[in-house]
Amino acid sequence: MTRLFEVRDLNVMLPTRHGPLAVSRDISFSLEEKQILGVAGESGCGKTMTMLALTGLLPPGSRVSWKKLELAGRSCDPSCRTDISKMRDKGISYIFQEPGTHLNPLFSIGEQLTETILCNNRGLRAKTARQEAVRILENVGLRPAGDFLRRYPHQLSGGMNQRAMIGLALAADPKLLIADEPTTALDLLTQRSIIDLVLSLVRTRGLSVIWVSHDISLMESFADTLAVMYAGRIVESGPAKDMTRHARHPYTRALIHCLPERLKEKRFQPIPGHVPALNAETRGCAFYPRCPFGMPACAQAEPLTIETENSRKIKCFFPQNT
Amino acid sequence: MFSYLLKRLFGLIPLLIGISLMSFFVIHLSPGSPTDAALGDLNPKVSYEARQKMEKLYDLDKPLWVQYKKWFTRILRFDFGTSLADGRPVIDKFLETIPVTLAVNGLSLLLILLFGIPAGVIAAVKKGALFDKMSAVVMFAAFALPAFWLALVLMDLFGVKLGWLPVSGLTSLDFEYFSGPQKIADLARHLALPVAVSALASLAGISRYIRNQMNDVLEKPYILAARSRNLPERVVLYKHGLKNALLPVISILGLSVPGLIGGSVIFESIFAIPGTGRLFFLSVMSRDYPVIMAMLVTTAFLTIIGSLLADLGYACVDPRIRYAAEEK
Amino acid sequence: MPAWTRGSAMPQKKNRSKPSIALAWGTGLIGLLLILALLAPVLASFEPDSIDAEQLLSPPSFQHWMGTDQLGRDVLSRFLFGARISLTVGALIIVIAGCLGILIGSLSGYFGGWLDQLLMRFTDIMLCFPVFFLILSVIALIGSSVFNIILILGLTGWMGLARLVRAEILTLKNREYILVARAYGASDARLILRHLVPNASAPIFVTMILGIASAILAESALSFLGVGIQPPTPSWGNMLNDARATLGVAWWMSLFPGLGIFCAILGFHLIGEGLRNPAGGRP
Repeated sequence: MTRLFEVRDLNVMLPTRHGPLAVSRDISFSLEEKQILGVAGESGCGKTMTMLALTGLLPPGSRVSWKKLELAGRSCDPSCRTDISKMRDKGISYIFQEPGTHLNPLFSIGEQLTETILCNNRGLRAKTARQEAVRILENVGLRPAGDFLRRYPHQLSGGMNQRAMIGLALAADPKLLIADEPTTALDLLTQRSIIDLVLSLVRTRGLSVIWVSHDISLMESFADTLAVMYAGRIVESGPAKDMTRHARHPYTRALIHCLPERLKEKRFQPIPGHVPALNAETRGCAFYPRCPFGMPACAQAEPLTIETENSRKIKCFFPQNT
Repeated sequence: MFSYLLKRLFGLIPLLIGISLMSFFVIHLSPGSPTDAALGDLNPKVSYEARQKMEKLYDLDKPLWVQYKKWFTRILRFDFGTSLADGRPVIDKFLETIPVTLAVNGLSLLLILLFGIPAGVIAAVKKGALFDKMSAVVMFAAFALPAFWLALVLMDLFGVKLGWLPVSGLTSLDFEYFSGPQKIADLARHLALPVAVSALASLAGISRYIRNQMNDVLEKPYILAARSRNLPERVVLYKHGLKNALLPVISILGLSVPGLIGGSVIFESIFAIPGTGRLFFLSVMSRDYPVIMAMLVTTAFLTIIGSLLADLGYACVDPRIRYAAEEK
Repeated sequence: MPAWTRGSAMPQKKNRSKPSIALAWGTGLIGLLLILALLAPVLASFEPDSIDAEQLLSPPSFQHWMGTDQLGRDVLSRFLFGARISLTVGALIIVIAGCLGILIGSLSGYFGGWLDQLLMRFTDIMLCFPVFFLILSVIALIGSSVFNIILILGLTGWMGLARLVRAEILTLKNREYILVARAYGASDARLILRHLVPNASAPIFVTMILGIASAILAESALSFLGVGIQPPTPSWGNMLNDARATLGVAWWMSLFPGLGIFCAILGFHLIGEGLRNPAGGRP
């Protein structure tokens, strides 16, 4: 399995009224081809900002820095002034949380699809583009494609719109798909069907996927690797099943223990306290105030990331043993 | 779509009745008989019989509601009666002046859209840049600028000091002796100042409005999504952004319908343009009440038509409205 | 130090503007005009209608800072007294329009039902007419005394406010504190006057400030056409009308009154804008 994507020490800074705000720190992970990475975390932990940073879609005034950023062998040089968007151009697509609002209400699905196809394949004839659009619609399960070409976003259900969005993402012929909470706004059945669709696309097109969600148990079922984020940092990452069964970072453990499934087992335990505000300056570990295993040393310095066997990484001074 | 239209039209009927009532009573509830102006105010020489005769002629001796009924049924047939000033049918006087006003205001509207929309779009696209800030300042100043003052200043500058443009009337004195192209040039020179002033007065407002609309649209999620699909920035801004941002221009067009026909009293007075605005002003000065009522009703009616047209326009352009109406 | 690059493909934004500047300038401008108007009798060296027969139509000089008009009257004195008239008239108009607008809007929004329908229909009808046409019709029929002008402009300027008040009340009507107050037996009038309207006071106030500007503009326009404030009482509008006759000859006659109207309207608009965007709001 070849390495498709790698990012090392990504930092994202957003401009605010009170000065620049660091929303992601030292983000590092990698992805192989046909691999699904699940990024989990509570609201406000910086997952979306990190993903937007990788595609150059942050709001104006933002600043990004990194040590390494590579897609399919092409590296993005941090010191050069070109935007990350160039890298995105060559192979990353994005799908969003609320598909309805992310589609232009004044254009039909077909129009938006053919437009994307034409813009990403210069020199293509309009007729070929339309045929390609039909093909894509069928690939994402919107049949009969001819019908859906003419429909407008407000006429489609949430699930159908998400399929259309996936289709639009595919039209750019990506190698990597970033899915930012694509099923959070959908009902359970539709959720499952969208997940199945993405899985089949991974199989058939060789896509890699970064799936962002706050629902760690959902991702456990289909992700290959997981990364858990807290307060803008990745606190633990590793193979999915391994992580959920043998979580080692106190936060990941606490997350697993919060899962509703645990209610039955009577091991349900909410995490006391709340997520720190992003502008709260912390000296030590960001999770320390809420950590049941915290030691004084944790408050002194930011924990280093420990790498263990089978590519587990834990950002903690005292990772728990199972 | 058709039933939507019918429903809207139906809802207009009470408005139409209300407008006619209002126009009627505005005139008739004022002190003094309408015949005073025609016969000369308080002229003791005018005999009682002459006054009686006139009142009978214009139904002024009947009770108010009878007068209203008669008048209402007549205007439904576009019969607005005859002018008290010169006895000509009101409708004729009205129709004479409409083309002039239409020309001036139509040209002005064209200029406003032609310059105002691009200005607004540029200000939005280059948000925060010098152009944006300057246009904000200019707009603010323009809003506060009384249009008639601007007219005077420009008349002074271009008409008197520089002598480039005539300051009044629609045509020169020897207009009939001009050849075809000379006539057009003469008209153009006469129209230049009124159209320019009229356009300048509203230009800044429109550009700022478009700028705000455009900024709102550019913050929308589907714009971000469009960028994520590698669409060139040009396409994102001018195809996706602009189309959505220009929707409200339909409203603006609808709102300008009454102005196109009703005209502007102030500009036509200043520049002595023989349009509907000036006709109205002169009628008001001479208490020519058939003309006044006719114009009040017509302009109010046009306001309603304008808003109806705007609704139709939206239904045509915005698929959400179009299909919602059909799906009912 | 990490090497920072732009994270965004989108155009960069420059500094945000500071809306509180608008408020400062606006208040300053209006304050200045108010002072000029209040101190008019003190500041004016001449009576507004006194004639200096030797200096007809003379440009600004040490004796007449703003020059004289074609009747030999000092333009500065007329300007100052005109400020009084224009500002007072504008304020009174907005008092009438404000009371009417708030009354109709709150009755409509609070009681709903047929009263709401009736009042809103009436508002719609009034809004169909080009306001200026209506005003002209009535003014020319009942005459153009100062009182009439204030009355008519007030009676035709309430519609926007009524709609606003109605919308605000509809939103606030079902808030909890209102329901609680009603449970405590507060009467309708008390609810409206002491709870609902005051809570909507911010947008109402902004609308009224902008309304003063419109009122001043409308009065000036009427006076300019000759159907507003009648000479010899000076109003910026009728001073501009006088300037029409001397166009091209006496620039000072059109500059100063126009400037006055401009500053008044600009000042109120700045205040309105400054109030609408509290510091840090969207430019």
